Amino acid sequence: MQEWRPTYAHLRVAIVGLATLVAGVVAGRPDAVIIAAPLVLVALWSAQRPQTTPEATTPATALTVNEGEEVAWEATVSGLPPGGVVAVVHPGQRLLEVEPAEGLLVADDGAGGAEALIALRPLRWGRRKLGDPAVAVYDGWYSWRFGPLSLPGMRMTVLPVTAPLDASGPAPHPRGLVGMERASRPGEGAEFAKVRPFGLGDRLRRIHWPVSARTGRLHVTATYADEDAHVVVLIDAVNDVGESTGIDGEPSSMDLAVRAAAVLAEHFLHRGDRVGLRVFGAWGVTMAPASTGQLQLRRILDTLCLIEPGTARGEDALAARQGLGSGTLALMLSPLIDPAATQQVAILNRAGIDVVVIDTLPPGMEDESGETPEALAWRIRMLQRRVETTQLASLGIPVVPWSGAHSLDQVLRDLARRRATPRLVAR
Amino acid sequence: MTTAFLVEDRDGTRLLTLTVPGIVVRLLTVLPVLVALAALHRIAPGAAWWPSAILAAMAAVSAEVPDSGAGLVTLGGLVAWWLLATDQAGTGWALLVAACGLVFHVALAHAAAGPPGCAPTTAVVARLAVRCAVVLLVTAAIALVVEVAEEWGEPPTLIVGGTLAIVGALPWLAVRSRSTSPPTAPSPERTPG
Repeated sequence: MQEWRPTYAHLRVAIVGLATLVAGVVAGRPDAVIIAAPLVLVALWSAQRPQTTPEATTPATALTVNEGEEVAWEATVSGLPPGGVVAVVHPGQRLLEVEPAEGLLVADDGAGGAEALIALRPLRWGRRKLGDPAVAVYDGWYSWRFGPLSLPGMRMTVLPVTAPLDASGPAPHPRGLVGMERASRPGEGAEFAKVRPFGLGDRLRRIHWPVSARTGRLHVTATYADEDAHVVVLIDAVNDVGESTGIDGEPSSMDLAVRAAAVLAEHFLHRGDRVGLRVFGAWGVTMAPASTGQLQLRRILDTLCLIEPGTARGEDALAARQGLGSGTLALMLSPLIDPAATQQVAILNRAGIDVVVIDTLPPGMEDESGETPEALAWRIRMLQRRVETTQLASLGIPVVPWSGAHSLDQVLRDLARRRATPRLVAR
Repeated sequence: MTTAFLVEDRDGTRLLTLTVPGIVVRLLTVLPVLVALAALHRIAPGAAWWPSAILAAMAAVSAEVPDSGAGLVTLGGLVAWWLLATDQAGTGWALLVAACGLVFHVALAHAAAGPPGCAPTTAVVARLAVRCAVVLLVTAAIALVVEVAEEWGEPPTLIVGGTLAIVGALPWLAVRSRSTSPPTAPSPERTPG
């Protein structure tokens, strides 16, 4: 059970103050009495043990924030002695900024309570359990201490940051019912197709009067239908290459993949497309089924938070194709280190799925000039990777390094242009 | 956002933290001892240097481990060295050393309240400053009594001791009486029924 205990400070003023006072009186040294005076006064002022029973509470035990977002952790302490002081310390963690990093001292608010606010700023996506904060209560002279009281640590879900993507490239095979993609068939939409003679069921507002007047027959403006596309974001989580130093520092390959997946998911969902997510190489999280809307974005972001790279190796490459039909746009985010990723891309492409490989190898990782066996092995792997990338390109699979939100624009345009070309696929 | 200079290893364990409050508190722990020792050598120029050097080192050690007995040894050693090295120093010098002792004690107690570099709010610092000012004012009043008593030719020690006892005991007695006083009877307006 917690109780008020005297501190070294109390011991110090009591022993030194009283000893000096006695020595001064006995030896007839008024200067000793003057030197002892403030110490004795402090000892007497804080002589009595505080009678209150402090209690500490914190309202938030779980929180969802975005990467780099600053949130305030709050602790409320009641039952302070008059003039009391509260010391609050929130433990730090890797890739978590705590301000003040070394704790905070808060004064009594006059009613026996105090409120401490500590700023927390997570620097990397993921789900984490923060350390238990500690609270200690002191009287006004730091002569008595109550605690430390331990508070429950917060469970923090850090969503990857989603930068706005202003890409105008269309999805290659829109197949759904609603959306913003231009379909290959004519219908009610916004994009002009041709001017054709009026037919049964055409709307009057679509009549093209200049052509109708010139030809003597009613003509209407035909448009392409607007439809949604099925987009699946595939994440290769077999390896996490590079060291992550947070959102303000250097990214690892998983950082690039997760942040790119968040940006792409938000972009396509905003356009009304159906977006799904599949993760390879991470235990406990495999997929988020394709759906639309803001709720799906949150579902995908939550799924991305759970990725623990390299926890499930050796998955069947054919698993990538499960449930994906031809016409799906597959965006594969991979550093292309594990040969299985290249194999999966080839399988998807053979099944008639439009695949775009987004290379998430962090910049500068290919350059390794060391003489150690590890450096040599890495250089060999990089050479193999270059050959595999060339082979993918020869199969018509674009490999785009992720360099921000606009990386895909040209690629998607090329894919949409290529969709008119007939090709042989295995069904 | 960070106001501290942090050095961490790859696991996030802090190796070094430098904060402005931490530096100020360390300075307020060491400087008063140095000032008191300088005053001692000013009054007693023939005093040996090695005890002062040891005390200065002890002050630095105390600043590093504030929640320990090092502060008691330092403060006790400082007072003992003062009493041994000086002979009937003036009231002004004694007042200066008393202030240094109080600042050393309060800074050390403040540093021991949290981890090194713990940041206090303005209210904490202001209240501590007010408390110290009150104590120093009372100490100055006691020093004034000493001065007057010395001019009158009275033995000042007993007078000072008595004054100190009265001044020091009054707030303690007040708090004690408040905590042990019987509860007051309820007012007629608030009496149920």
